[in-house]
Amino acid sequence: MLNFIVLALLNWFIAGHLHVPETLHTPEIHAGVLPRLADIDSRFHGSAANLALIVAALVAVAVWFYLFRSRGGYDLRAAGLQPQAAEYGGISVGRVWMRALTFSGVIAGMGGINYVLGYKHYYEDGFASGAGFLGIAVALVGRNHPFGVLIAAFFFATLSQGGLAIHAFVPKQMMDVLQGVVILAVAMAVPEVRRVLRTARRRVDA
Amino acid sequence: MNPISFLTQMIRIAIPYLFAASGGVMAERAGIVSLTLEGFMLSGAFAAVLGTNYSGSPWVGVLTGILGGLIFALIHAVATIRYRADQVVVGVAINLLAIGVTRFFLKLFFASSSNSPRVAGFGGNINAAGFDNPLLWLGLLVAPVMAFVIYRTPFGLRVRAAGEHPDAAESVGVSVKRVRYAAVALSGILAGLGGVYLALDQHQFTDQMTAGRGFIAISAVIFGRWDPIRAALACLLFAAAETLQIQLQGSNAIASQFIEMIPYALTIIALAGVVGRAVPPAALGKVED
Repeated sequence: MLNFIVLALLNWFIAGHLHVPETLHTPEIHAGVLPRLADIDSRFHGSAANLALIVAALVAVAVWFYLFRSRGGYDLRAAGLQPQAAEYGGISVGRVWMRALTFSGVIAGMGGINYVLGYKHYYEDGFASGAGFLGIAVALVGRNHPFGVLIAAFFFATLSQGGLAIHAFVPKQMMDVLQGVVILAVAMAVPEVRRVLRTARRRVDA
Repeated sequence: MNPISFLTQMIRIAIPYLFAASGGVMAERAGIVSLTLEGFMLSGAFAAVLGTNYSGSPWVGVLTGILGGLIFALIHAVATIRYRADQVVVGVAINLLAIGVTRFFLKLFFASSSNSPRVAGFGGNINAAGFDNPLLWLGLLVAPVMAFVIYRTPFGLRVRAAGEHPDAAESVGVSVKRVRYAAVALSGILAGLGGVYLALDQHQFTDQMTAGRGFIAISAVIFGRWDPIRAALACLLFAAAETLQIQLQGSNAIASQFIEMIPYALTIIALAGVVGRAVPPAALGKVED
């Protein structure tokens, strides 16, 4: 629900106040530009990838460290696994959730860096176009682990970039279909695999 | 502002919401999260245009549109009921899949990446202001009919039991799975009809033409506290806000974006429990092994 409220609010800002006439984006701003990787290393020549890629990878490592190597992360995982038990163990679950959502907002907000600071250098209405929803899918495919998410993110990026590459043979719209199918398949497979493993284990115990 | 024109415009805007929200109430009362309404509507809209285009008759379009919604509903049902997948994630997947599939077929059948050719529709008498469209009358009837089904029929009782306490339902011999399959299929048919109305009213399919209407419908379900009649009233309220926004355009009295926010803001207020907390069906979204 909040998604739509934020989109409407941003649309009001852009369409009503900050836009370049005749367009739906802000003027270009060069003050905070992130350099492209191609400017640093010529092997990335022709790629739009920029420093945000490295920042994103570092964030994944930081999230891993926080979740699995710090006290706050321990509290967070406990609150997620079994809130009542965590509360009993002296963790303030409400506060943990508040903190988790704040971090999640900060990190997801950084997702905008790539496009705005690294690529276009302006804010354009609706630029995210569903990237957040895909983010949920990436987290799922990455099995809710920061390093799994790295792999899953590259997988989905390959899918959408690959769609452009094969456009001569297959309509690139096929990639939209494929993304949906992949998410669906993983969502269906995860509980199934868990069940199969559990029955197998039970059989071993017996 | 002419009150008659306001009312007719409001009803025409509300019809897709009424169809989709009624479907949403059905599925959610059975315990299955309905974030998929958007996808059902989109596939229904596309299938309706496809059927109408090749047959020349909007009635065939209605049938194919129902089929379009139903197919996606069955995918949703198999994933969440048979495979017990996370219902929110499947919802995201279904919506992406519906966008992708309709885009792909748009390219395949109509060689376009934005819209279909113009197709036939219902009515069209300029004096009737859209009220000579049988789907409009069906849309006005669907909420009371759903209320009757949910509160006054054995099937409705089973749906409510499956959503509130599946174990209890199971213990008296009700197949919770079968009830849920039926409820989700029905929600696909109804949301599909919402898409059919939308597409035939505009006489064509355009890429992502549902534009968040499925999410407005799900807001109406929550704001209407999972009751078909109250959800329908919420649909009318949201449609009234939208009509106001259209009719106020150019007057600069209030920025249209703030009126756009009304349904979502009201839903959050309802969920946060400021005025009488909205309590969802107890087993909504729960996956039992």
